[in-house]
Formats: sequence, structure tokens, C-alpha cells
Amino acid sequence: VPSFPDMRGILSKVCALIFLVSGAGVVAQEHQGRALVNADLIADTETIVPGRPFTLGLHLRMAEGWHTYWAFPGDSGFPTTLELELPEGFRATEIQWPLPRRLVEPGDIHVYAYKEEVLLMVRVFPPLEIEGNEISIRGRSDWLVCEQICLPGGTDLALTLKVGPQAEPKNQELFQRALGSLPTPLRGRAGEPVQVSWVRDGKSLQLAVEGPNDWRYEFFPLPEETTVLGHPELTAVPRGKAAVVRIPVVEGPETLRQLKGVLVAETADGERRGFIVTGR
Amino acid sequence: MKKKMAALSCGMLLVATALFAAPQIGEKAPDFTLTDTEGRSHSLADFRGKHVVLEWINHGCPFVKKHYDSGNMQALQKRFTDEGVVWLAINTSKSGEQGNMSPEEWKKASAEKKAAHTSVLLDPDGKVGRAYEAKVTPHMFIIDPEGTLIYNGAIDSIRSADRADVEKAENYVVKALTASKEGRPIERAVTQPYGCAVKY
Repeated sequence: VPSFPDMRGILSKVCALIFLVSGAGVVAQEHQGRALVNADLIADTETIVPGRPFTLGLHLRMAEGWHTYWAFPGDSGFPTTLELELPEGFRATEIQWPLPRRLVEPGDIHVYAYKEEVLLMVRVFPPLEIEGNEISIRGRSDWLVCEQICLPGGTDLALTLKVGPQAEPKNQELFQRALGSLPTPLRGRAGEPVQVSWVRDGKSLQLAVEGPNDWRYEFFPLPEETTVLGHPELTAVPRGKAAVVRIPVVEGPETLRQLKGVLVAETADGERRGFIVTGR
Repeated sequence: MKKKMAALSCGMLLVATALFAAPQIGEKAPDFTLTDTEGRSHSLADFRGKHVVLEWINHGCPFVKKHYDSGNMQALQKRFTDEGVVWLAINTSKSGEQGNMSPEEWKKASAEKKAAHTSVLLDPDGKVGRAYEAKVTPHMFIIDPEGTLIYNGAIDSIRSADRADVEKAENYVVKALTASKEGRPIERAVTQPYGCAVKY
């Protein structure tokens, strides 16, 4: 019989690599006897209605101090992935990413991440006709979770939903909260809370933001694969003029004039509002 | 007046240096002197006349494991050191952080993994990491025989910790080294590195 410390050593090694199913649909990534990430595939309804869109969510809950990553992770890390196998005739959007937080690590390493919990949502469009009285959805998610150290995690996911004439809302509070933390598109129309414009200035891009005077801005870029950026930096805001976020272009085409990304405004009340900037 | 101007331009020069402190492709790579796991001191300048690869390393990082458990990193080290390239693995983990090991532990790890680098250099105070703005493990740099920085970025094109991806990926280090040795321009001299944050 192995002694207790031996067993613990073996278990901690094994647990860093495997994922234990605990309860209905919730999967935990364990490390040294502690759950680092609980992952769960959920829907905003228990019953889906043919032809009527609904929302799926990958609910990740991280242990205190640990984080998983946004669509562009920043200087290190990698984005959480979600692949879904939906029944025939179903369509789904890409992941809708709630606003990330910028975490600054020693060595001026900036990452874009989520602490505590995040709901990564996908809007699903069922066909007008569905055979049978339930559907099953399968999926796979992989992530990297980091504190001081990083550990890759991942799990297979499954969810069964009833099919019926009427939706039965579920997990409403969670979905409402997540929807509230999604960025909204900027269409460059009058009356929008902020207006943005781009200037290429040699080795950097400048995003000018016209909006309320007392908002503070942060830009989270979604660079193309061939583009390497420095850290976006909010330059001094002259009173009554546009705020400017300067983004160094370390590598990228000469023709690069705009970037995709999310502009986050912190209002005077400390509320965070996100706007999708669609670089062309 | 002249003095004032000189002071002013000096100040501007300082600002400019600070802004462009990151090592630039096509410019002289920052020189450094570090001690290896055998206690020997190495300076970058000692290797003039040869290509030098810098590999930021931390064996606890899953992205480093990807390239060592698959044998990819060792195969690259073997192939290029056989061709006369100097391959320096640099560890910038601060004391007490993941990846910081004693010289004895490093020697053991290198032997176990059958690493074929020229040396492992220890940079626990992060001076060299900061000079190169090394962000992740593995973060790769290539310096040509004249001492010019010619590559800064990822080891390959697939940002994952999955060793099955090694075969499918385009290896940027191989491409850059091969092009430079053959006197061809490097197609992608700067790429977005991927991995775990360097443990400064």
C-alpha cells in the first residue's frame, strides 16, 4: 500500500491532466485537489421551439485568482475554444465574448482575460421543422487557465433540450447579466454614444474617440494573424477634444489603417460599456 | 541658448530611446553576458560569425512542454547546432517562480529531455529578458553572424499547447534560419509569440 504522501503526489499529477465529472453537466479541471475551472454547457431555455433562435452558453467558473482568456489573449495565453456539433439544419454564430479585463503581469506583460466567471454565448438558429421531441448537442471546449502558472484544460460537453411549441426560459439571470456585458456594434451613425476615427501615424495607429468628457477608454485589439501590436495606450485627453488611443504597430502591412477590436468606456459611475470597432 | 538646445535634444533622444527600446529587426541585437548552468560566462559578442538562436524556456510551462514532449525543440536544436548555429536557451524565471531551477536541476532536466542546445543561460533578475522584451515561453529570437537581430516571435504558426499541432504548423524559426543561411530575405521576421508569460 503506497504511503499517503506518495498517493497525494501521484494524484496531483494525474488530476492536473484529467477532468472529473461532478454532478449534472458540470466538469471540473482539478489541480492539486482543487477545482480550477468548472465548465458547463447551458441554454437560456429548457425547451426549444422550431424556427425560434435561442442562446447557448459555455459557463466557466475559475478558482479565485485564476483567469481564462478573451478572443485575443494579449501578450501570452490563448483564447478559450468552443466547437459545437448541432443537429442537422441548425446554425450558430461565433462566440459572443463579454468584455475582458486587462491584467498587467510582471515584466509589463498585458493579457486580456476573465477572472471568477464568464459566459461565452452562441446564438443558435433551429430549422423550421425538427424531428422528435428532444435534441442533443455535443461540444468540445479547450482553455488555458493561469494564475502565476498556466495549465491547459478542456472537456467534452453535452446538453439535451426538449422540443416543443413554447420556450421554457432557464438560467435567465445568468444570461441577462452576460448579455449586459457584451459590446455593441458602432455603425458610425449620428446619435451613437461615441464616434471613432483612425489615423495611421508612421509606426502606430491612433484611434480618436469622441464621446462624453468624463469617460475613460481602453482598446482591446483583435489583430489579424500577420499583425503584431504593442500595448494600446490612452494618451492625454485635452479638454473638449477627442480622446486618443495610440496602438504601436510592431509588424503589419503598410496599408494597415484600422484595426478590429473592442473599445471599452468606463463611465463616470464606473460602469463599463463596450463598443465593437470594425476595422476595414 | 546653445546649451539649452543641447539639453533639450538630449532629453528628446532619451525619450526616443525609451520609446524604441524594444529590439528592432535589422538592428544590432542587445548584447548581454550571462552565466550558464556550468558556471561559465557567455556574451552574445563571443558568437560573432555564427547564427545565434535565443529560446526563452521554462519547463513548467505547457507550451514549452508541447515542444519538448513532442521532441520538436530537441530536433531543431540538434539540426541547427550540427549546422554550426549557436542555440542558447534562456531562463528568466525569478527566484521562487515556476521554471527557476538550480544549475544541477537544469543539467538533470536537459539530460532527461535529451536537449541539444549549446547552453542554458540563467537570467533570474530578468535583465536580458527585459532587454529583448521576452514575453512568453517559448519566445524565439534569431541573430545573424554580424550580430543583427533577424527574427523575433513565435516558434510556429499554431498557438496551442497541443503537441499534435507541431506537425501541422509552419515553423517560423526553421524558415527564418534557412532563409538567412541561404542569403534570402526573411518572409516573416516578426510574429506574435505565444505561450506562458515569462515569470519576471
